[in-house]
Amino acid sequence: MLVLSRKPGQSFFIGDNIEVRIIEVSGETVRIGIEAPKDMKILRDELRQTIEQNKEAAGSIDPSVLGMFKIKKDPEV
Amino acid sequence: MSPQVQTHIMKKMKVNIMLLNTKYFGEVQVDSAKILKFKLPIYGFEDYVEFVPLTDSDIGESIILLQSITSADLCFVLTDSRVVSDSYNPSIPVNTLTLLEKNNILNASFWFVTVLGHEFKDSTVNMKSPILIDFDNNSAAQIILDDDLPIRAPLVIGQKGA
Repeated sequence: MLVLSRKPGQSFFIGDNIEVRIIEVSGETVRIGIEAPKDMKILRDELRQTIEQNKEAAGSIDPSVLGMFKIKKDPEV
Repeated sequence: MSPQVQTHIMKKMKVNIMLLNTKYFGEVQVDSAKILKFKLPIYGFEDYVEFVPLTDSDIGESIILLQSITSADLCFVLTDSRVVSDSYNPSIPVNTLTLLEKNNILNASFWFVTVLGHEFKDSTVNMKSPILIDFDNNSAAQIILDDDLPIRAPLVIGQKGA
């Protein structure tokens, strides 16, 4: 992985038309500004992973798998 | 699978039964007063807003089958956060809280989107992006928390304090 050091206000380019600028550093949080073409999808990693997990969840599985819960069911719950 | 399918809550008296094709139970009768509306949609499923929570008496109320009203093929398995961890009480980001209040999602319970594995031990739950359901107002939302929580935590059920 390429690692760069930047200060607030400084930026760098990815390709010709994506600019990433460090806006502010405060404690553990870095605010980042991104200039990119409108059709460029920009997603936080946790959002991307959540979409992926949702799609997998919706795709799972055949009804028989649900029977697993009957075995695991805690009678106290 | 037991043929006895019940919607999650029974307290609303106004009964308006409709027949619904479901992914796991075939055709079932559903009380339309129990349909949940997603005010903040399920990520990646923004076109699907209305779902009905189904439970199976053999499985218990800690597992909801969240069946889409408009697509029989679309059904999520949700696990009650309380049976995964009774200490799960994450802080909700201020911006999200404002959105929830604006959409009348106030007295909500937390549910985890569950990916079923081929074996029970391979199943995982998303603790980072819970589904909030307010059964009083029939409203729901999926939110993403700032807390450092796993998106794929192993599903462990019936072990309190996990």
